[in-house]
Amino acid sequence: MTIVDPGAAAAAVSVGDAPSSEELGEARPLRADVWRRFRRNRLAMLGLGFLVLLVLAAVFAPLVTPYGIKERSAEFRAGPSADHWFGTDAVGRDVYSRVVFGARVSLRIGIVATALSVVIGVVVGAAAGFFGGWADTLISRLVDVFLAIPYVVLAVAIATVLGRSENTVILVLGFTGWMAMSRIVRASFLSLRNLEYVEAARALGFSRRRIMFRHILPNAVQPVIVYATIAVGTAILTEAALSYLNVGPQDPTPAWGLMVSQGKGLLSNAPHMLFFPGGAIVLTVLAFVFVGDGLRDALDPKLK
Amino acid sequence: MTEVASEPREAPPGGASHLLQAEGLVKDFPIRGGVLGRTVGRVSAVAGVDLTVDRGETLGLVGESGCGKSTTGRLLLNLIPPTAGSVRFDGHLVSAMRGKELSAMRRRFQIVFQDPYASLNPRMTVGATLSEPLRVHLGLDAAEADARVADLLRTVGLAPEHTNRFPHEFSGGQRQRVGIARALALEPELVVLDEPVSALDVSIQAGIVNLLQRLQDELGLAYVFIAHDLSVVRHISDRVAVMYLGKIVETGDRRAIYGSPGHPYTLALLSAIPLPDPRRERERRRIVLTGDVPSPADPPSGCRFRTRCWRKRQLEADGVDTSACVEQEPALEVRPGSGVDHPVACHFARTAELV
Amino acid sequence: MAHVTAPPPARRTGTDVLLSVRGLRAGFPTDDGVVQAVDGVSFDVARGEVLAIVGESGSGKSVTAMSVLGLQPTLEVTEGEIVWKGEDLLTAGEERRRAVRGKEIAMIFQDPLTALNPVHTVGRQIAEMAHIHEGLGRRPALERAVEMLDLVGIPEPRKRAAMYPHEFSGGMRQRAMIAMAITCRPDLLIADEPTTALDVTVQAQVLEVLVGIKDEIDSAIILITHDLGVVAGLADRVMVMYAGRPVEKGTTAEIFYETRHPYTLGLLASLPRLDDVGDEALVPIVGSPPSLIRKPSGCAFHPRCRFARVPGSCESDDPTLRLVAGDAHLAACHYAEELATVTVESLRSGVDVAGEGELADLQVPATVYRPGAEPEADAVVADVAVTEAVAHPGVVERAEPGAPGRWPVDEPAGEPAADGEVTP
Repeated sequence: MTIVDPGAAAAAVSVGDAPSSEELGEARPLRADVWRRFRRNRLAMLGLGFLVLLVLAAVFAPLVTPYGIKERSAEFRAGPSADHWFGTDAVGRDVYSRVVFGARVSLRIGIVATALSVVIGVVVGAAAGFFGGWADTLISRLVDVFLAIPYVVLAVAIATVLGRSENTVILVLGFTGWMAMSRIVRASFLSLRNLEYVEAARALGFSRRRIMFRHILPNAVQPVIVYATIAVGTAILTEAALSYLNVGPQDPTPAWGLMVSQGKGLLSNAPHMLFFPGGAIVLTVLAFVFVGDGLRDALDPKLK
Repeated sequence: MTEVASEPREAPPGGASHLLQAEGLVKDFPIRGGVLGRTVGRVSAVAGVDLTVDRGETLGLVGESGCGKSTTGRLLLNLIPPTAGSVRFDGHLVSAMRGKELSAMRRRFQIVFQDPYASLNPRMTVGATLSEPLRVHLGLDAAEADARVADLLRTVGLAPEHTNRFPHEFSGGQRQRVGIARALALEPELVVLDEPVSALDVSIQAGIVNLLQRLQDELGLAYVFIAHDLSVVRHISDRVAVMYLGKIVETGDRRAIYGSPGHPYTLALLSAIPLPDPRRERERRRIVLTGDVPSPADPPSGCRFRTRCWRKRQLEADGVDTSACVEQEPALEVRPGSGVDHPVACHFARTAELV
Repeated sequence: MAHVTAPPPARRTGTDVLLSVRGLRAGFPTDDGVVQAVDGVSFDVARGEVLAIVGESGSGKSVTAMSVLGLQPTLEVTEGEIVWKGEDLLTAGEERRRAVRGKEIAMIFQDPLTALNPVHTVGRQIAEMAHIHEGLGRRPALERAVEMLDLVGIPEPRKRAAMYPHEFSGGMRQRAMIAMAITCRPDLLIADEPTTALDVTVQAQVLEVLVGIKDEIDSAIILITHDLGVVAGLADRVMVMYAGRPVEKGTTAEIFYETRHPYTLGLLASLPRLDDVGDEALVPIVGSPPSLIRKPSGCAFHPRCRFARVPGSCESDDPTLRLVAGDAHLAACHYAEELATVTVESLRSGVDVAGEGELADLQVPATVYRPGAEPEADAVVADVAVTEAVAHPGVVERAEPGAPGRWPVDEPAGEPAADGEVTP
């Protein structure tokens, strides 16, 4: 009937028990499983590869660019050439160099703004989800109020007070992005709070702090990681939108959104001024979304 | 809606005869609605339960889903606060304890859960899970805790080498063993077992049941064994309490409940369990209940079982006046002359031949 | 009262075979290899009979049913025939299968809440069956739905037909599912754990309905379940599955009273029973079910078998399902004949009922000391097992002189031997 591979048979026998327990042969931490599942997702790996390149380019920007961000040549709005791979902009600056340096700006904005909203969101959401009852109701309504504030108006307001800069953008994004995060954290706290292992921790007489930090929080971070990854991409996109509205960083900061904004009027004459920074935005945002999706699947134990 | 629970009487700690004594336990869950989550109704999950557990014995708590047996189990351990009533453990009024006092007390009573997949923290190794209570409560250092964890694993039939493994590497039965080891870590006197085998395959169940029995013999544990499966309960329990819609309808020692059941619900429940024996199964008398369990948000007046009661219908067909079933809640008590020698909450308690 | 349909000696309604499954192999491809969920299954179902397929999770009992209906897109049927009324469904094409599905073969699922569509009324979902398969118009189809709900004992069927699944209780939903399944009066009902999600008093109601319906519409039933009590009450014939294969087949009486496979014996002996008299021991099956990707060598059950002869034929040769008694009692065990003297009672009490063989003194059960098991695990097991084995002598020498096997008849309350979950 079944043809049994002799090697496998020997292995099974030496264990002396059902192969299901043979799987216990080697300790498998969760992390290894997550990586194994992540690796299977081609798009996510592609996205990860792109992001690694982008980070390297951002870190070593001066080494991989021929010009500085303010350096001007005599050629204005010139198309791509051997000298200027991505062409030059309206005042003769090298678009390639500015796009590469722009990665620093975009990544910084994306990552710092997201970190800010994660910190606020996790604290607020965890408080609501852990304490429940009145605290939850109060916090949740407060979050609803914040959700109702249009972030563009807030952005204009903050920019007016603090001036247009990268930091302004970071603050705006940080203070408008945490609500979604807090809702995610609250929801996962609420569901985890009723899980049996949390109940078991209570039955063992552990303190609320121990239960919160050791038993609930580590299990609530998975959706946070996934959401935060995608949120970095979204923040980069939002920076572009704010620049477009003239509340983003100011020239000569090589922000991608600002560069797109500067290129928009010259679309018919010099499409490269919009195409290259715009393409950088699209690829970067896509990469973050792909990685986020890959993480979501990899972290879901049900898909094991 | 629910009977008023008797005021907990103060008894001097230590002087109790029962290990665990619950009186007039009531638990209402609010039904919330509206923007501000106002209470728009109440579900009475447990509606006045009295029970006792002695050292070293097993009390089986049986009933169908929604009867309040799991809620009762959690009330007994003060995992959720009762709406009314009291729980004493070894004379201490546990239901009034909070904070540090309660934490310290928790060492003495533990719980094992139904779902072996949800009851272990997926991010902690088995060793970490088992050593945590030892460090927190007993202040053991790493080496002492490790040695004790190895003992615990051996006690529940696992190898000490399993200590560095994560829960997802184990089968359901093995996880349930880890759950039992965790409950035993602090050497409790009482363990509430909430459907400990119902999520497991038949052939694995027997191993867990045997393990529980062996541990009870060796460690002198008292169990509250909560289950819907009357066969398992029969196997493991000394005494049994049958619950229906938040109340105990019949209680007694095992022989009494299985040998001469007096409540029409217990009779129906027993007769509904299929026997793995074709000849007997096809010859036996079966009482098939009609309808479903009423909502605990709106329980029937009088006897809670009356809407599905086959005996009430039989009696009515014989021209007997059954208005008491509607008007008066039957007390859980021995009824002289009924032929049933243990407490039954039925105005017309009497037994019938079943198996 | 409920399902006292037939006396245990099964009635087989002539030779009117409806479904004939031959050498079915099916699996799910995964990264780690093919999960061979069904690995060589053959069985017949005749009109009017109830065939129970019994097994634990992962035994392949549900997948067998899914292959018949072709309901699982990721399931690959690699070999075999599924002959329905003389026609092989596997080669018949999707169009034909769809026509058979629902009309001639209907399925009742375990979880009615997920099997019913929440956005349509129950009546409409049942009416849809009549509409699709019989071309009934809107009004007559709805009439049929009401009629079906009435048939399965749902009170006020007209009112209920206009309600949504979430307004039904669990038992009511399962009845609605049955109503849907029988709308076209199918010749075969496949019920996959139809009462597992229900409370026991409701289970009794639903089983009663199921049996009543069967007689009413004269169909056959394949009952897939792990509950041997339900099998005992309903089935005419039983097929016990383990690791994707049938290990024992026979009439219900043969399976329960003349058990010839150690796994079936193990299942029966591990059950606590309501009709136990005293404190009979439960006899667990050691270990856990095997991985379906890499099954054990020889007999797939041998690592868990208390009768296995290791080393020996059990670990080297795969036993075929063969006739072991009567005219249709089959078992896949090299030593099936020798099991004739072992009964569930003798296993549980340690007393050799048949009187054959003599009680040997203080022998540690073979399952505890299995050659090849690693020392640490042994140590763990031995810790408790030996002392308990001593306390419960009960190993019977049954093998022929010179044969290596010893036949432990009693598994002492011996928890750790029960273990098997002790992984070396």
